[in-house]
Parts: sequence; structure tokens; C-alpha cells
Amino acid sequence: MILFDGVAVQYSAGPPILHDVTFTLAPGSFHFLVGRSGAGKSSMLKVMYLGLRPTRGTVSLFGRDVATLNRAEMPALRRRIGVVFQDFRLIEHLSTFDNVALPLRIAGVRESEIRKHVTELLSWVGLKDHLDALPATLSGGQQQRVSIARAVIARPSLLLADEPTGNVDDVIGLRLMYLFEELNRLGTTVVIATHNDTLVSRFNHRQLRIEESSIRVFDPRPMTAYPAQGSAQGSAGPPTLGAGGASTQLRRPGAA
Amino acid sequence: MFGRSDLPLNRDASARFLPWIIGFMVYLCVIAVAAALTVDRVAEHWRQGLAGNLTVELPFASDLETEKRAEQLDQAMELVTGTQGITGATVLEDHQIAALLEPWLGPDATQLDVPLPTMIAVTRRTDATIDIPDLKAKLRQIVPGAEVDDHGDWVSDALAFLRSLQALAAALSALALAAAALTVIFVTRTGLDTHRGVIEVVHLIGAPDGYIARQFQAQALRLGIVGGIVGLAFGAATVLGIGRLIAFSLDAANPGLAFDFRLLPWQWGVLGALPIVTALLAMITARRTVMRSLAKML
Repeated sequence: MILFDGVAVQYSAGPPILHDVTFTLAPGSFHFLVGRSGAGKSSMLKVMYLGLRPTRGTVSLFGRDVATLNRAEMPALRRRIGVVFQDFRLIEHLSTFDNVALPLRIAGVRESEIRKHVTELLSWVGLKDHLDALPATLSGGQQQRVSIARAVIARPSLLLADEPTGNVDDVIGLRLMYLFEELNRLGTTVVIATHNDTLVSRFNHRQLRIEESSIRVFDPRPMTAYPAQGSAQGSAGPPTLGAGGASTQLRRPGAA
Repeated sequence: MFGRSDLPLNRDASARFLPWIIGFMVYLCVIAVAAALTVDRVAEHWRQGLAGNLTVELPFASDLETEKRAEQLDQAMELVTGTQGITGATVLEDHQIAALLEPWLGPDATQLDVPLPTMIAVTRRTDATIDIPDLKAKLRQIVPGAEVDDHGDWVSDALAFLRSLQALAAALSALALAAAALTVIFVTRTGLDTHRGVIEVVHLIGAPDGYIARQFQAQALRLGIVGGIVGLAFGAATVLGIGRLIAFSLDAANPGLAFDFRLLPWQWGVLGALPIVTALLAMITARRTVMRSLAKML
């Protein structure tokens, strides 16, 4: 699903944000992306959603090396990726409904279908009474939920969320996590960047830890941490993480 | 055709001033094209009017008897009227020649002691080809120094002048359209900058360049149509007004010259197509500008 091989990201002049990052995420896996503020979580997500080209290394999405993609092939790939931006990036002059409907409209879905799905999802995230509200009139938490709804409305194959529960209370936060897990159960590969340790410890998912510009993979389930077998260590290849067969373990607590 | 828009292009300042600029450019185009079309009609009028005429000029031979001159004139008339394609010939009376010379020699030209040539006004079929040098050579055997003028030089000079007027009008129209296109490019680039954030998001959600370009091109088409209609309305009013003015002053100065300067229906059709052409130009320009700019984005 996602393969990083020797990936480095460096903004002009500054020190490298990411350095020699190598890992593989299997289809249907669920990962937290953790690390202190400024560690490079957002840059990593940007590379994953094709918003940033890596300075070095190979990134492969859905089996395609993104460096070889031509411009016309990008939109179709991006439509398979749902992104929850840290700063929401809602379109200010569009209503809640229209913001969430946007991915479906771009995909050319019929307006009657759009109305049904968008209304249903917005009800689920508790925004049924705000369909016509403009983002500026919503609270931070409400905007975040709109942003999440927009990311998941088209049932993406890959969901990338940057601090998706940062602006909501615990109850809503849990509800959103259940939404992500539900999507994951239906087959979506999920990567959630967060520095909320409570959330990470509460849900039993693998972790991609950014430490000193590189990545360490941590699996809490066997309760053993192991370092990423990056190419720098001269391993046979990047490790494959999160086998699809583990889906029962990925169900939300109490659901099984 | 216009669809819904994810970009708030309607709220941009350009949405207010672009129609006026396009309107002004369409106005200039309408005037220039109307002038070119009128010139076309004038040229055709001259060409047809003069192409049907020849003038034969026989110099006054002071050394000949009057009877001999009359005999020469008869022979010349016989030759001219017998030539294939010529339908009639009239010897101008002295007072008619005097009227022709009046602008140069004053009202009393015939009273002056100046030998006046004999002038023969010849009418011809416009579709017939007449060998003018041959006719002239034959006439000169009868009357030495005879001249045949088919007004060709004059007509071709006048037509060349009218054609250059038309070229000027075409150049003005092209400049106006180019200015409109440049304005659309500028406005579109400004719009792309203003809405960069939204465009990035829409891109990341998976919109192809064409999806974003459609919104800009729809806006350009809409503003182009509005501006074009305004420009056409003012332009048509101006053309009608100038036409009336010319007709009025010609009537007053020269009641005999009944030339119709009004445009024909198909010519109005050409003017009516100008706003459509301009709006389409604006639309295509906007699309190309967006596609080129987006190609530089990730």
C-alpha cells in the first residue's frame, strides 16, 4: 500500500526533516504516526498524500512509484486518499454540506446520491443541524469534524489524518476514532498522526515513531519494540507491517 | 454550461471590471468592423460605377478644317460603337466639358481661348473584356494623339486606399481582441493567486486540472458575454448614429449622390457575432492560462 525506501525530506537550506526513512504499510493496516512536535509527522503525511516530493528516496503508493507518475495520473491516485489536515483547510465560502460533498462532486457522483451520503455522514458526526453553516461560524471541533467527514466521504483506500482529535473533547474524540476503525474494518488503510499519548495507549495499534529524523516501528501488541530495519542497517529489505489478517485485533474495544 | 463553482470567483474585483474592459474592446471592434464593412460597400460601389465607363479623348487639331475634324469624329464614333462589348457612346457637349473643367478653370472655361478636346463618354458591358491598347492604337490611326481612359489607374489607386483603411480596421480589431485576451490572462492569474489555498485543497482532494480550469473558463465566458453584449449595444448605437450623420450631411451637400451607407443584414450579423467571438476567446484564454499555471504546481 505504502512503501518508503531511503526517503529524505529537506526544506531549502534547513537541516533534513526526515532522513533515510524506510518502511512498508500493508493494505488494511492501522498505524499511529507519533513523535514530538516538529519531528516531521506532517511532512511525512504530506509526502504520503502527494503534497510534497521527497528530496531523496523512493515512495510507492498503491504499487506505483510516485516519481514516475505523470500529472494526469495524480488526481485518480489522490481520490483514493482521504486527508484530514491539521489546520482543516475547509473552503471558507462553501457550506458544511458543500465542503463534505466536494470529493464526491469531483468524482462525478450524482447529486441525489451526494445528498443522501453527505447528510447521513454529517448526522453521524453530530453536525446534522449545521449543514448550511459556513466554516467560520463553526467551533474548532466542529470544523475538525467537517474536515474528517470530507476526508472519509468517498470511502478512500488510504486515510491520512493529522492530529484529527486535537480540537475535540474526549467523547467526540472517541467517536471519531471509532469512525476511523470502522473505515479500517471496511478495508481502508489508516495512518493517524498524533501526539496524544492517551489516545495511542488506549487503542491497540502499531506505531510509526519518528525519532531523530528517522523512523522506528513499534508494535504494542506483542509488547516488544524493535528498530526499523532500514537500508542503513544493510537488511534484506524494508519490513512489512500490519498484515491484513490482523483485522480482528483492529476492531474497536468492546466491539468483538 | 456554467455549472457550480467551488471557487468564489464571483466575489473577485475582476468580476466587476472585466465585463467593462471586454465591453470596451468589443465596442472598438464593432466600430472598426462596421467601418471596414462600409468601406467594402463603398469600394464595390465605385468599382461597379466606374467599371461600366470609358472615356475617349480626341485632341483638338487646330491645323484641320472643321469638316475634316467632323469626319474624324464620325470615324472614331463608328470604331468605338462597333467594338465588341461597348453599348453606347456619346460626344459630350461643350457645356458638359465646361462643367467637368469648372473646378480647375472656373465657370467660364468655354469662353477662354483654350482649345478643348473632344470627349466621348462610352458605356460598356461590365462583363466584357475590351482590349484598351488595341482600341487606342486603332483610334490613333484616325486621330493622332487619341486617348482611351478606362479609369483603371484611378480605381486601383482608390481601391488600394480603401483596402489600406480596411487593413487598419482589421489591425485595430486584432489589437482590441489581443488587449481583451491579455486582460483575461492577467485577471485569471490574479484569480489563481487569490484562490491558491482553495485550489491546493481541491487538487489534493483529487480534482484534475480541467476541473479547476472549467470554473475559471465558465467565469470568463459569463463575464465575456455580459461585456460583449454591452459593447455591442453601445457599438451598434454609435454605428447607426454615424450612419445617419453621414447620410444627412451627404444629402445636404450633394442631393444627387444617393448612396446608401447603411449596413446590410448579413453585415449586422457579423457585428452580432463579435461578442460571441470575444466571449469564446476569453473562455479559451482563461482555460489555457489555468492549465499552464497549474502544470507548474505539484
